[in-house]
Amino acid sequence: MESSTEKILERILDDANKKAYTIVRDAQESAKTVIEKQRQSARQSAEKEVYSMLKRTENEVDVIKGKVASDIKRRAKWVVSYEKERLVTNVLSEVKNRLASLQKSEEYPSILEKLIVNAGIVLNGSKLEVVLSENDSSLPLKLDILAKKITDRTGVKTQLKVSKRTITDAGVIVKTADGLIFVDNTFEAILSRRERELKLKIARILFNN
Amino acid sequence: MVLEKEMQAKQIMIEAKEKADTILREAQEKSEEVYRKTYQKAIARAKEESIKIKDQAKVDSESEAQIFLEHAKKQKEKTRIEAEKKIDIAVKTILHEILS
Repeated sequence: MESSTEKILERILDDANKKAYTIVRDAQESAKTVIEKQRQSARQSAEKEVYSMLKRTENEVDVIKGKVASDIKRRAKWVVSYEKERLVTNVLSEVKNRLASLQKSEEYPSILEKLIVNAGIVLNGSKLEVVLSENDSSLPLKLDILAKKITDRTGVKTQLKVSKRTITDAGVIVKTADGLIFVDNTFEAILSRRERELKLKIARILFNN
Repeated sequence: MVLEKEMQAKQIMIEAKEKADTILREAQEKSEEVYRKTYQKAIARAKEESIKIKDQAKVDSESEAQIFLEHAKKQKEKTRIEAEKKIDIAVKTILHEILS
């Protein structure tokens, strides 16, 4: 009898302990589940944010690549253009040098005469003044023949006379008698006036294959 | 005796429930912290990745740019060599153009 009572008493405590263990274990399981659910939920929320962040990154990368590409294309174009411009300028410099040395050549008077005739035609003849450099003033220019050529081309009787005024550049300036209109056919002026057109011509010669 | 044991058993159950409540309450509190840390960690990793991708893009672009620029320099050199062969022709043509 005593033993049976003890067993009952033991059972009561044993059952209680088992139930208590189960309650605590279930609570622990639930705790784990709650934490795991929150972790999953955080990952899902972050995933959306990460996705849009990586999308933004992709766009930024495109911008970076585009910027570098356009910058490099500009630089590459500039490298080649700068070299072309340099070569064209070299040709123009060489032209200037050769024009400068022409002044001492035998063909210079005939060149000067051509420039006078061209200017006279542009001015449509009549009474014209030829302005030369001090050195060129002493050249044996056939002004009468040149005046006739102008007359023939324009149909206007033309007279040419050398001006008392002088210029410093090689070439010639031809003025109307009243001095109101003139054509500057100095080498410097011709080059300056036609620089753009000449540069295009030079570029075509140098760079067209 | 039985009553005493039942009281003890009841006490065990009360303590177990209290312990379970504490576990669940703590888990609830901890879960908020877990959420915050997990979220922050994922975002931090993504930011790091984003920086890496952008840095790599810059490096790649610069490298491609360098190749492109080298090509341009070679092109420039080729242009120069070809053009220098024609400089004399160009000078004579322009002189003729001006003086004729």
